[in-house]
Amino acid sequence: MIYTGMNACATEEDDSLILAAAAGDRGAFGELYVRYARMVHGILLARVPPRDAEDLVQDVFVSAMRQLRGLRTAAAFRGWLAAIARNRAMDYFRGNWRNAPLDEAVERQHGAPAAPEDAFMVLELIKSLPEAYRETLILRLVEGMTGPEIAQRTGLTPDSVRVNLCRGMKMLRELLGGAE
Amino acid sequence: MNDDYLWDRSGPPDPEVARLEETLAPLRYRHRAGLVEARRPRVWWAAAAAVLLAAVATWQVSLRPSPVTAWQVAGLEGNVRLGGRNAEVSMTLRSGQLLRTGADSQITLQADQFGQIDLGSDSELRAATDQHVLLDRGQLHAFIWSRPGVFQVATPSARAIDLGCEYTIQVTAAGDGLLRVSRGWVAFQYKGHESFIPAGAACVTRKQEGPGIPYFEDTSEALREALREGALDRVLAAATPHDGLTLWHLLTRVPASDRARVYDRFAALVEVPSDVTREGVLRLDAHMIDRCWDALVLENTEWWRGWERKW
Repeated sequence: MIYTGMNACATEEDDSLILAAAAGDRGAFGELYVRYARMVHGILLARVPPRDAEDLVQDVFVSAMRQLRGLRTAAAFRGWLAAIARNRAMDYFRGNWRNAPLDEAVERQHGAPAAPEDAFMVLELIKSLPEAYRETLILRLVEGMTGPEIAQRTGLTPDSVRVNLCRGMKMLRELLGGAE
Repeated sequence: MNDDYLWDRSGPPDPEVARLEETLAPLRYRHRAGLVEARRPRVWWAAAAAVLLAAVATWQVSLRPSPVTAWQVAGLEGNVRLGGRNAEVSMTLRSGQLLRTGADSQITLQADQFGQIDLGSDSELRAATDQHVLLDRGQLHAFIWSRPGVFQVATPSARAIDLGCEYTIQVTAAGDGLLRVSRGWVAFQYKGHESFIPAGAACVTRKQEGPGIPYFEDTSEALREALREGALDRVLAAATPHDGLTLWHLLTRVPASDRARVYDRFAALVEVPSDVTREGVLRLDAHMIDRCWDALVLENTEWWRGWERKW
């Protein structure tokens, strides 16, 4: 599959927004929030309990807004935002026993979003996969992003995303086969 | 197996991938408008303690200046008064303070965690808290990036609840209003009845009556005029499939004697799911009304799963 011009166009649009946001334009930052919230949520969901992922999305964007002026190029934004999200997920567990990973069955009783049991079961299987596959699969299957969108939003190459999706899905199919 | 569907949803759907998408969809971002509600303590003594604390807090607060909110002045033009003084950039809005713009004046407020508010000329606004502001008159444009369901604008005739993102509210001196949504969704509530307004739609609200029936702004003038005049026959005659949102709201608003006509028109224009029955809708079965909403196939309605559904 060819990396299409539509994605290049979307990247250019994002770059304009990033530059405007870095110059202090709150409206541009709000638009970036709309465009990147699913990516940030997916990255968080790959690491933290579902009950807290959405709150942490806010933290990530507040942190990003404060630091945005220090960003030197628009191209760096995607990887930078993803890194803030990953770091925030690490901070979530670091030095705070209250946030230590819980037994999944216990976690479901503590403010997790309303979802069928199957959703949590499948999410746990995905979270058991290698990190690169885990994140990409969650962005695709949970957040509903397409492969080209994932590449455009995360800054990964389309080929990497495609490989991660295919290999991750193959492993997930095997796990699901074993689970049934 | 061909992986085109997994990659970009082109080609025939891979049944397993499609099943996983459906299973995992409830965990998607912005599915949890009810999360705050779910975390609320429910034991009676907690409520009693809260009442006691609130009473003590009220007594203490009366002795000191009202608390600051997260809203700061980011820019202004013309004559703007805040708490009886001329407003200046970087001033912070205190809870309960009156913000008033003069003729040909405007002000921009920002709160890092909530969004941006632009207040037009001849307007009056107070902030109750970070999340709740009151627009007494004038025009307010809000661009909100906090979670859906958090930020609310009260007006004399309805309360607008942000379900994510951008809208304009106008309030007349008489307290009537008009809400126009340019991005995302807004719920408009008054005494238990509510309207849901998506991007591209608008809704009038009247004092003592609350929000009216929403309509897409690109709908026909005939339908808009019929809505303004409350002429149900003409609304039904002018409705097209694009007006399903309008008809859906009418289902729960018209008297029972008119509901059958509204449903018949709705079913003629919108593909109603097979498990919806005419009788069920006429008796306002909540599940049937929900299924009729689903039939509208409106985009970006994840917040709906966590909504109160008071019908």
